[in-house]
Amino acid sequence: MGDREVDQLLVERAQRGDKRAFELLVAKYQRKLGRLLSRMVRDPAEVEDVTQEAFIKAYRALPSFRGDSAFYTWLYRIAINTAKNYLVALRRRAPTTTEFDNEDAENFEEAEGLRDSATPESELHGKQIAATVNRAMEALPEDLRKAITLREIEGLTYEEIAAVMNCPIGTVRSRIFRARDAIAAELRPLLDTDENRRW
Amino acid sequence: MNEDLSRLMDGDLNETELDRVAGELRRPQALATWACYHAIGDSLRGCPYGSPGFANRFSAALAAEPTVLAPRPKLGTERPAARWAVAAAATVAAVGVVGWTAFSLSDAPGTAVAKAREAAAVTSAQVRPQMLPQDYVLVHQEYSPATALQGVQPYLRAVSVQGSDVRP
Repeated sequence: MGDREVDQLLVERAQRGDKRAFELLVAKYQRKLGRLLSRMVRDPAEVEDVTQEAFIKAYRALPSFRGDSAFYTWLYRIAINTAKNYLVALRRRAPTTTEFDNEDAENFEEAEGLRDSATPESELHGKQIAATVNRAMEALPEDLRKAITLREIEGLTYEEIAAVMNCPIGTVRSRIFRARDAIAAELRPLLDTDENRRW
Repeated sequence: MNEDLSRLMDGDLNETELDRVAGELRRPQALATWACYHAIGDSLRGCPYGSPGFANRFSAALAAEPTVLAPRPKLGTERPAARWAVAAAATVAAVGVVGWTAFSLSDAPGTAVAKAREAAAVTSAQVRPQMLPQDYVLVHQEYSPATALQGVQPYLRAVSVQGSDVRP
C-alpha cells in the first residue's frame, strides 16, 4: 500500500462521516499546502486563512472526489482556485495558472518564498521545530538515524531499506518507529500535541 | 499503537490491520502522534512551515461544518479472489443461458422438423425436370429466346441432349 492508498482510505472514511479521518489528512498536508499557498498569497495571516478555507472547501467537496487522481492533486487544485478567488476578491493580481500545474502538485518541495512571507512568530516556530528535529536526529543511534533518513528523505520503501541496511524488514519497521518516537518526544512540547490539548 | 501509526504513514499495514488502526485513530492521542510524526517528516524534508495553533483553529471550523455523508463503493479494492469469483459466476451464467436456449431450440416439438421436411419436399418438386419429349425439345431449339449465340448454341445443346440419351 502506498501513500495514495493510505490517503484514499482516509478519504473513504471521511466520506462515510468520519471527520477525524479528514483531520488526519489535514495534519498530513497542512504544511505542504501552506507552503504552496505562501507563493501566491504574500500576507502570512492570509495564507493561513486561505489554507483553512481550502481545506474546508475540500471537505465540502468530498462527495465529488472519486479517487481518479491522488488526494493531494485534487486538494492542490482546490487550494489554487481558492487562493485565486481570494486574491481577486481583494482586487489583487493572481499569478497565472501556468505557474502551477498538476505535476507541481506531486512534486512541490521548494521552500523558498515561504521565508519571505512568514510572520516572525511562524518563522521562529519553524526554526525551533527544525532545530529540535535536527538535535534529536543527532542524538539517535546510527542505525535508527540511517533508517529514518532513508525513509523520510530518500523515500525508500521498507524492502529497499532492508536491502540497503542488510537487515530484516521487521528490524527496519522497528528502527523507523523508534526513531520517530524519540524525535516526537522532543518535538511534542513545540507542537499543540500534548495530551492535554488536541493536536 | 504508535508503531501501527508509523507503519500506516509508510503504507505498511494490511487491510485487517488498517481497519483496526483506523478505529484507534479516533483517540486524540493517536491524532496528536500522527500529526507529530508528519511534522517530523516535513521538517526532515526541509518543510518546517507550520502556523502555531492552526490545527486547533481548523478543528473548530470543521466542527461547525455539516458532516459529509457520501459513502462510495470500494472500487478496485476488492480482493482479487472475489473479483475472479464474480467473473467466473457471470461467465457460467452466460454460458448456461446460451446453452439452455440452444438446447431448447434443438429439442423443440416436431413442428419445426415437420416444417423443414415440408420445405425440402417443396424444393425437390420445384427442381424436378419437366418431362418434355426429347424430340419436341430438339425440334424447337432454334426458337429458344435470349441466346447470344443464335445459330450455334442450339446445336451444342442438342448434341448434349443426344449425348445423355446414348449414355447407358
